[in-house]
Amino acid sequence: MDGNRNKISFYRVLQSIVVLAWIAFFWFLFQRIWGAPLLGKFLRPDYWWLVGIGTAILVFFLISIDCRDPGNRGRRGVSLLVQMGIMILPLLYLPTAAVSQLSPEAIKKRSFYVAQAGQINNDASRTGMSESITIEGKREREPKLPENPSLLRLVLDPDPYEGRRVTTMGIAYWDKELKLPENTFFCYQLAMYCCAADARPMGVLVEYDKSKALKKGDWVTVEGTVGFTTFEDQRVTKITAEKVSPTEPPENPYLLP
Amino acid sequence: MIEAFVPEELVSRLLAGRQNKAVFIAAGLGLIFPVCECAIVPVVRRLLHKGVPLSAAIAFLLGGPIVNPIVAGSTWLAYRSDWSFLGVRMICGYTIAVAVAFMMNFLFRKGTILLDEASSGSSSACDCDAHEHDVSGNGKMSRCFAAFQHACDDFFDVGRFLVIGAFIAALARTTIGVDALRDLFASPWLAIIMMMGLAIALNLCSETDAFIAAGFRGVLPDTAQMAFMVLGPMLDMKLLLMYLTMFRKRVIVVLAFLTFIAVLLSMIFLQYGLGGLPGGR
Repeated sequence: MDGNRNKISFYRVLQSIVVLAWIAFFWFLFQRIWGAPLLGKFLRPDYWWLVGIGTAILVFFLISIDCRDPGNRGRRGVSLLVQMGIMILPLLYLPTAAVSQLSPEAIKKRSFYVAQAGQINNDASRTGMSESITIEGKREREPKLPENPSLLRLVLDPDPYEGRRVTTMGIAYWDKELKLPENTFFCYQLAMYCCAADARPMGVLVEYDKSKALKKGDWVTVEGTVGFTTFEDQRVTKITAEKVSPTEPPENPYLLP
Repeated sequence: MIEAFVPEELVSRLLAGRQNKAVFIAAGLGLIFPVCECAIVPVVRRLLHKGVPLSAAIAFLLGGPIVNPIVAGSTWLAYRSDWSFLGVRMICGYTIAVAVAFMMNFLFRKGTILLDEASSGSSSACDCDAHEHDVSGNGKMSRCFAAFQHACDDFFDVGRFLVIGAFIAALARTTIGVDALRDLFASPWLAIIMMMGLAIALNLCSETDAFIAAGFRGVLPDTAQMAFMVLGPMLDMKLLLMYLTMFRKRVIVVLAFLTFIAVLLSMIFLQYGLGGLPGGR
């Protein structure tokens, strides 16, 4: 009888440890690591409330475990240890995840999106850029376009910038498999729709005579003139760069369409 | 909440003599209870143990993660307001869920489809004995408390498979080069099959997979993209693992086979019978 009681206690203690660890993990996601909330590495920052709800539910789980009838038994033996081990496994990844980022080779496995001319006006309207588009879809030039547009703006609505000189930033990438034109690199940021799992590289082509000298995966600031070129049978956005310089990554490295 | 608040008698009374009708309702139930494919497994477990017919449960399991407003919204956004993609995805998801549910009902009976512990006479979906299952006579607070105990058990029972599935998904996302596969999709039928394979391997959430599928627009046939979006929420590696908490292995094999074939035939019909998605741009 006493032995059985010990097993019950062990089951409840293990469950409590796992739930507590997950609560701590969720709490940690809200903390700022080197100036940026850790949450932004895994999830869109505006979805913070999902993590908040998750934390609240886990707290209720913890209370329900604590108030269980001690006379009942749960899963036991190796099965219990395996179950709890698996549940705790993702949390061990947190220290690595906090300081790491997707390597250029991992990025390559995701589908690249090169900005195209006049294609995504509906997305533009979602990101608060609809003021430049009339109901009939006829474009009216904005009186004053930002000189330093975000890469997202250049990707979603490049047409107003044609022929203009801009400064933007992103990650430099080039690879033979991409079959980019000569002296050209892909300047991208990862666009996150929901979470890091669905993030994909979005960006523009940059014509720069020292492209091959750039290190893959480095953040760069690009200064140049916006134009268009044909790439893989599509009219895509291209910046003819006058200057490309290394820069520090932004606080939130993701584009949020 | 289902376990603690929905009496078995109510379910039995509502569904008595309406098994076929229940299938048609269940396949579209996601419109009212929008859940993705990961969250739907524990819900279906609870529904089965509340006396919901097997066919209706399967219909909800397959249709729920597609026929729901969140998935509809993400598909609409990803395909830039192209109603043909949204409409075909919803219709295919609903139709295939209903068809597979009826086929599963024809092939199996409830007693032979569920795991022993899951199909026992107990009103609970769990085999834990770790909490009180009969709360029908208790007050609201007790029922809320019982609901959290059941939810906690589901968190541990289903969560381990979710973790393994997520690991497989992460592995697939970092090792399978999506762009590199484009050159292999020489013909539409090959593209459809390859995209179905990709859907199973990538384990994407039904609420965001449209954004990945849309990346293949202009490169692959619309039907191949649709195959990816219809099969993924119904069948992937993570779901197969999660089904292990509910169904017998041979049932999982048959369910996976029927779902795969139903999606394949639907897309082949759309591609070669109708020449692509109806109303596609």
